[in-house]
Amino acid sequence: MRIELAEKLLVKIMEWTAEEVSKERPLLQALANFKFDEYQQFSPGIRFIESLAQWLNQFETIDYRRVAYNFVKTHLIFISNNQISQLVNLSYSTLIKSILVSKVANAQKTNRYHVKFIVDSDSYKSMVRQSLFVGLSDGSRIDQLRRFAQLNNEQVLTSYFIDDEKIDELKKELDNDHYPCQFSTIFLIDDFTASGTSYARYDDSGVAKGKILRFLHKLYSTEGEDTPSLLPSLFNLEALSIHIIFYIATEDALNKISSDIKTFLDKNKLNLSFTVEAVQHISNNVKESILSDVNLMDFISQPQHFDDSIVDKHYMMGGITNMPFLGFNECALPLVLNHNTPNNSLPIIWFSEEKKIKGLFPRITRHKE
Amino acid sequence: MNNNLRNPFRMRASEKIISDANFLGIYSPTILDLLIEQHQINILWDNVSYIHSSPGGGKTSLLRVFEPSVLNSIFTSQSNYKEIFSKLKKIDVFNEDKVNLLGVYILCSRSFEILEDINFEPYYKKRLFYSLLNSRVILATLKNILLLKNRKFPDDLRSISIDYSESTHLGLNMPTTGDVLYEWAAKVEEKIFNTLDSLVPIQESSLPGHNELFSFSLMSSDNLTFNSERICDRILFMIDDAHVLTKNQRNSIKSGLIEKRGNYTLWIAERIEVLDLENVLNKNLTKDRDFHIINIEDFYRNKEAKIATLFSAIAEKRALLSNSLNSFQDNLSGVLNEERFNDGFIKSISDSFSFFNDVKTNTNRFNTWIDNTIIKDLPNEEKAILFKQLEIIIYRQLKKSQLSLDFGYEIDELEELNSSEIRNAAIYFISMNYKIPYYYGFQNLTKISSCNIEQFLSFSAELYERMLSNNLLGNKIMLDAEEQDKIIIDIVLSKWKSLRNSIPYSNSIMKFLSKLGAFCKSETDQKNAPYAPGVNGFAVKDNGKNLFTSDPWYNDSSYISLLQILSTCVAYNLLELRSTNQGAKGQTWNVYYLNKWLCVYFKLPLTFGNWRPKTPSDLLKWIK
Repeated sequence: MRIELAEKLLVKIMEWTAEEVSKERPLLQALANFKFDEYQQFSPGIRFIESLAQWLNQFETIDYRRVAYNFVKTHLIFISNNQISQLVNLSYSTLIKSILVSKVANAQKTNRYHVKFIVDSDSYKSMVRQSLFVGLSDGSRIDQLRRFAQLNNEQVLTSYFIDDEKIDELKKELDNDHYPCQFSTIFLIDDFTASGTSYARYDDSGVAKGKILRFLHKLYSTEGEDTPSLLPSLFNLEALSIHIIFYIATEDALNKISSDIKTFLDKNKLNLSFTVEAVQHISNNVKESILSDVNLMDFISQPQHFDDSIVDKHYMMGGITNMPFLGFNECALPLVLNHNTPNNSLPIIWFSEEKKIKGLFPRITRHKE
Repeated sequence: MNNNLRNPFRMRASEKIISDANFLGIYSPTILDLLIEQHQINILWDNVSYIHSSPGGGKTSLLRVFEPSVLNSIFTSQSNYKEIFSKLKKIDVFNEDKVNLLGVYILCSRSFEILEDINFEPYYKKRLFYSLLNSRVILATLKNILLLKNRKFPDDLRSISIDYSESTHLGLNMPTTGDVLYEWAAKVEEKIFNTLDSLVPIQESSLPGHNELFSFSLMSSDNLTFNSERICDRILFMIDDAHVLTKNQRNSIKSGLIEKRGNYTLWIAERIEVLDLENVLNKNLTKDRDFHIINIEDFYRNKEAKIATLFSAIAEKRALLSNSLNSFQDNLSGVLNEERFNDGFIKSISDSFSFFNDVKTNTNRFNTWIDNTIIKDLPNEEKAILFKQLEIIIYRQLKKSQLSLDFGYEIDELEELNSSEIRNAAIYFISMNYKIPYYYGFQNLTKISSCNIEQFLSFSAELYERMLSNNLLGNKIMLDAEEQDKIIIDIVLSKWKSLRNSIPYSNSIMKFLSKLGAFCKSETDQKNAPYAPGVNGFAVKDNGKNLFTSDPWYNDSSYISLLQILSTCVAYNLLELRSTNQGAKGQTWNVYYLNKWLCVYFKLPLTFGNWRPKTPSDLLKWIK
């Protein structure tokens, strides 16, 4: 669709006056150019302005359209590729480095604020090399982190499923570099979490689920493990600490993951030092600002503005389903990531093309029927 | 066409427009007339000139014209750029067969300012500054020679030869080639920054440094050849954004270059905000100095036709770049829709009529005037204006009534007393009192822009945006007077709001301007319109003393805050300073006029000319 046509449709459906058009058109153009056009899941030929016009056109009254438009202007948070890229680099300089410096300081019993002294030391170099960096999904951009932090190829993994052959190889490479053949620090890295359930949860029968708990389960060969793994041999379990790092996370998710890991460790009587951190925190105020917007809540709760076919078994894993129009786990986020919209965001933003209502930033779902 | 160019009026500052073709596409060469004037009196070349303007005045655009790639584009496409080519030819930039001037552009970045932050003795700071400037001038000149000659950098540097007999103290063997000199200058620059980046304390004695700004003499056209041929007759060095330099650095340039009276052409562009208070307020101070001042806004201030032509050309060139709408001026209505405001005119006529009846009740002196006027069969707009003119003239006569006998006035006396100023005052009064649009039409837009290109663009961008909106809505694209008036007032309100965060001493300045605006409004709104069409300026009446001669007011320390406010207002283009002769023979007044956007804010007329004298102590009260 040509941009002028989309704009014409937009001004018609929004019933804007010339004065309003003069105010809104440059703003939308700026938003589109600055960030929104880079959304990767738009259909071919569609960009933000076109998608916005189509999206708003679905809503039956001008009042609803105004609420929807106001939502885009005042609530929507779009995280661009460039921003995520910055967060990846920041994760090393602000979180990972600080963790490693503290760990060396503790081991050496030196002041952790003597950063230059520590970073220049052999102990630090050894600590860095004996750290394993594991990407928990393809959003983790572990390759970018490796380049930015100048990590060795043989201490970075793109998946947390590590086969025995790879374990042997990693140990061998440590040995070749003249280090003990075990890692003493693990960084589990991913881009985003809003509910935390993909990383740590317990199902109805109390079984630990989620990427992190499954990894710990494998690491400590806790009950129910069918085939013994070589994974524990890759780590010095005495000195091991695990650090989970997200580029973006809600406060609720960080708390939940911490709490579930602690439950797991207590349940299995394990003593493990761990941290769960994020470079960019999404405060609870973001959700609260959505919940307290009366007009918006009225708009998104209308049955005609929701397609309940999204409430499948995966969606139900979020647990709470009283208000499914608030998104997975009722996270009520107004958030869009440049590569995809998380399902924890309001579904009105991300309904895919075949749904009753099409989202402004349609989401490609991970679980296809 | 790129979507970004829906509204090309939003493009700013020539340095951000990437291609030379784009730059030339929107550049309007009117300012080159000033250079032609200077060339005619032999002060354009072979000396130092300061180019002054407030932000957005067009300094960088002027300099960019002289960059080699731009000059080459103009020379090779003379038919596309006829006007600019012909103007540049008049100032000897082009020969018949080649570009005869090498422009060397040096942008003052923060890297110069950093030098001042180091804890060194002033002597070492000056040496470092000279070294950095020398190296930048040499590097830029060598690069630009290759640009001018369309040769490859750095491969063709060796085709440049330099011979400078006074270079023995620099450790350079002469003659030398461009690649050697380039490496030498690059090393000087590198050494300075390595020194600055050093984490260990720096020994002053180990610092690199030059005692003189020799680079301008070294890189003279007489010393340079390319493939053994003279490159051009003249080299123009252009230092842009000199206002980011520290005061010491600016003084170092003056002492290092200007006072030495070298035989080179150097233009230093800076905002007037960095000038000393006295320099901003008293233009006479710069007379008889070893440098010339080119004040871009002053040039336009006395040439309203030129500025109208300039803005018209800028607007049309920008509109042509848009992918949506290719005309601007044609879409600004210059006339009022009388029918739309008929009620206002009728009310005005009726009020004037009541006034005439009151007058007739009290005196019969004006009966002929009134009777002759009210019988005229005119459209309501014209009738309202005519009645208001008569009203103003009657008020004026009533003021003088004590001296007049009660004889009736004749009709030819009315014609003598009437004037275009009174008509303008009548239009102004009707517009203000009956809510009829006043600020509309391209001519007024030009006035509102106060000779500042940035200001013109800030208004026209919004007007053009509204045209785009009308186009999008399928409405009539042309903006009527009412729409224009509203858009302009909205912009002005937002400009006023943003003053608080965009200028120094903003509280005092806004207070001062508010008092000044209220003063002008009360003087303007007098029913006899004594200063028709209105007052929008003041001059400092120095308690009877002749200004700027013996012991002027600004040397009195009790007025320091006033001096600060006035100079800041002038530097930030809130007040326009103009000299005018009035009163006793030879008496010159420096009149401070409100920038025209402030006239809109205070609902004043846009004309120049009418001002009132105020004493410094009166003005001081406006700040407190």
